[in-house]
Amino acid sequence: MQQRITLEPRQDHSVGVVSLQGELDLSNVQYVEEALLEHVGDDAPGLVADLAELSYVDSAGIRLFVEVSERLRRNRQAFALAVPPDAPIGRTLSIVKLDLLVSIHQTVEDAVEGIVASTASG
Amino acid sequence: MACEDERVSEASSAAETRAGDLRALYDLTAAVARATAIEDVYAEALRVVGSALDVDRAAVLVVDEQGVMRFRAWNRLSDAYRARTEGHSPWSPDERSPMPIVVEDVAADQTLGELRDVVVAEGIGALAFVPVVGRGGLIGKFMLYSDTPRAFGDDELRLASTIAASVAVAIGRREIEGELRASRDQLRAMFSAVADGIIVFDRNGRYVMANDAAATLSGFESAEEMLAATSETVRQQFRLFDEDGNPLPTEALAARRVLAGETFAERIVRYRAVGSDVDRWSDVKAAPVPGEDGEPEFAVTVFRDITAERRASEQSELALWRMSRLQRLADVALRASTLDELLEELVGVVRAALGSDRATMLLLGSANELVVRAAAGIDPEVAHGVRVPLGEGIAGTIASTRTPTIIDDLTLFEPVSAYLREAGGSLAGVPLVFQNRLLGVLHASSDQRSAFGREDLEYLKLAAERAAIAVEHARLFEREREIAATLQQSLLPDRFPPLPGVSVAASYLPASDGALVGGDWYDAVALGDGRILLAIGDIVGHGIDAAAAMGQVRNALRAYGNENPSPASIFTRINELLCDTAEDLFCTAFCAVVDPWAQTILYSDAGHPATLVLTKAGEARLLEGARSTPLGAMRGARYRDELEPLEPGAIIFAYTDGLIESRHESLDVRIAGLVDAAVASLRLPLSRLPEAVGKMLLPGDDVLEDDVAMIAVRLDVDAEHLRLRLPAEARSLPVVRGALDGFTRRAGASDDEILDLKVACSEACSNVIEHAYGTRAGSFRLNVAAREGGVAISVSDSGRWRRAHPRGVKRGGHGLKLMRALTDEVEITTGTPAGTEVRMFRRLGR
Repeated sequence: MQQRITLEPRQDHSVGVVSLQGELDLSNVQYVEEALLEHVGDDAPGLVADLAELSYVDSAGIRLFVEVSERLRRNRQAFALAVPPDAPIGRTLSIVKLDLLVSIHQTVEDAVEGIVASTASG
Repeated sequence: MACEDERVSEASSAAETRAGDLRALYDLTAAVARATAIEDVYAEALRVVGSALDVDRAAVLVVDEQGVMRFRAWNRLSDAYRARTEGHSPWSPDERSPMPIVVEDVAADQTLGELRDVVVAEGIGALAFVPVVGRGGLIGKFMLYSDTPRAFGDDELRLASTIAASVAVAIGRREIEGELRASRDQLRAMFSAVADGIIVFDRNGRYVMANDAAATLSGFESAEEMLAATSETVRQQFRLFDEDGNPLPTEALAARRVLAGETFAERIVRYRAVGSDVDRWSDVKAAPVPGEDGEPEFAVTVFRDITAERRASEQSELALWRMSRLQRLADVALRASTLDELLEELVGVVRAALGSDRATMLLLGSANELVVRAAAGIDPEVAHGVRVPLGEGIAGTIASTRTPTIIDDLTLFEPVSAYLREAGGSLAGVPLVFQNRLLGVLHASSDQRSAFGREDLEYLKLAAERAAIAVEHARLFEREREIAATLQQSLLPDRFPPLPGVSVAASYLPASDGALVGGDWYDAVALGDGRILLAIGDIVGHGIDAAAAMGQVRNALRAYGNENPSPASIFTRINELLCDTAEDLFCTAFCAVVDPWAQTILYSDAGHPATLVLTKAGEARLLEGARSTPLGAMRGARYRDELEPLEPGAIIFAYTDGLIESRHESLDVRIAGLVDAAVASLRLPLSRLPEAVGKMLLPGDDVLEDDVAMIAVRLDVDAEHLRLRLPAEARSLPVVRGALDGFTRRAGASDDEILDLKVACSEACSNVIEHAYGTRAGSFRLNVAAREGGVAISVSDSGRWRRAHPRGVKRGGHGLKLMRALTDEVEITTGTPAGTEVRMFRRLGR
């Protein structure tokens, strides 16, 4: 089945980074949630989702980010989103004030750094 | 006294003469009786005559086969005389009772004619002719000669006649003996010459005569050896049967029957020497020889060995029989159209050919079980579906050991499946094996014990061989057909999911010869941005390979199309793919990205017949701008895109070459015909257009030589309205956004506005999808209109919401929040009979 979305995982300072490319909606949230959780190891301090190339997201995707964040927190792992200022989906996220529920950074590096720093201090 | 003495002496002399005569006669008779050769009789007769009568010379002449008197014995007659007088007879040959004739003085005689001088010259003075009379009349003469003329007394003539009679007897006996000897010789010759055995039995059934052939046939070295044995001991060395193989009692033998009074008896006897297993056949004829009492005294039995003929005819009958029952097997394979039909017919033929009560075909199913697939002579309700695990029961054992088996007594074989146990009897069964793979078991069973022989098993093997091939063939065929049909079904949908902005109709007409799918295919799929990817193609070839290649090309088209919706770049990649993977596989194709919102078509043509564009006004034109070589034909082939505007409501009609191929007309003529047919069909609903065009162009009764695929895509977008009805499923969301993208872009919305509208609209739709129908299937409507400088969106469903507000909207808040933030007006109407409706309005350029 066509997922209309592509996930590209990589590692950065032992933090899992997954880049989401395409559209995220009700039709593929479950797939994306499973894929994201799969890419964060038990020992990893956390996970960063890079949304720079996500062309569409709506409330289903927003719920997904909140859900993943909560699950990782229960596992003492951090979750952060990387959303550049010019990202098309930025407006949607800001409308629902997602930054109150999930840590959002402008770059992946910032997001990774934030996770590494909080782990070191915590 | 002297006189007395003389008289006495005369009397005594007469008595002595008489006694001498008698002694002579006695000697003669004894000589006749004693003589083994007739010549001795003649010599004795001459001697007796010489001593008993006062004659100087004598001769015996006998009529030869030609009726001529010939000298047989004589004394003192010259060769010349005999030569001159031989053949002379004073009697006519048919004289019934010839009498003696006397010539007392030859010199004075007149009756001898010219012979007189000959007789005189021989020094004969007187002669007497004494006839020799046998059973049939005159058979010779006795000649008495005197050198001087004299008379012959009655006594002398009577004695001579008596001697002649003895000679006649001797001659007669000799003739009879000769005949007898000749007949014996003949019989002996016959006996030994014929291959037929001849045995003569006396009335007690003992051998009287037998020839060598009879002796040989009876197992003796010679006839003598056979005659030395008794018929009873001989008979005990053989077992005799009638034609049908039943034991033959002695009294039923032909010789016995004629001795018992039948005038003729004949019968075919099968016999076998005790201790031998070789059957021989004999045709026995017997006739009686009546004795003096009229009762049969002998039985002459002639028997002919017909073993070779029997075997030959048995062989040829057997060969014919074998041929015919094999022929029936072959017929079954030719006649039957389905596997089940074939198996049913096969078991019927096997049952008839073997004369068995039942025949059963079991095929190996899943789980290592044999399942009865066909049965003859058994209630189908009992037999069908009976399952036998491998290694169990008879069939299971035959299968697991793969050994052709004959069971002479089923009651000794346990366990037996119920339907066989009932009957008992015997069974012959063989495994069905194809290329070392076990396919099943074929067996025949009979109510009688030991009903099957090796011949039957051989036949079963042949039947099983045929069946195995048929089963395997049918399986392969069914599998191929299933695969192809599945592929065809998945690749050639006759209904398409709703595509935003367009209506689609397609038709596929398979070639008449093919149970197999052809290589034609078509596809229409929504790209994410509201555009439609349309493709049609024709893989060269048929069957699974072509169908598989078609699937590959179709999937590649979809995948590449989503990545980069440029027909030329899609073709370029597929061309390389085909050149890399399939050596001799190529395909013509037409691919287009149809934008119903922008009302354009971006297309490329890889050696495919030109696609048609039909306008509402009834005009037609061909898309001929971007033609190139077929895919897979040439590595590095270049493809290019051509962009053309489309009229509102225009129909794109793409097809494969089967629609316009003709041996009789030029391509131009056929395409002109296609244009006419398509224009003429414009008045029909789109769903019927491809079929109607096909009917007009393809002669109905004719066989379709090639597959034909057609697909028609109509632009349904008008500038003011977008109307969609979609299933209440998550997969409808990208379609909604694609349609919205195209529509709003055409309505003049910016990228940001388009995204806002997409999010807002998707939120409304997601709520329907998540909450309106629960687990039931349902649908929703999307109506989008461009008006008053903005875009109006309506999302409605017919579901029942349990609460006044949609759960998702209320709970999460995100959905409603987004809708409100991204549009200028939001209105939700719930609880109406029509379900829930969400209305939104967004001004553009605000």
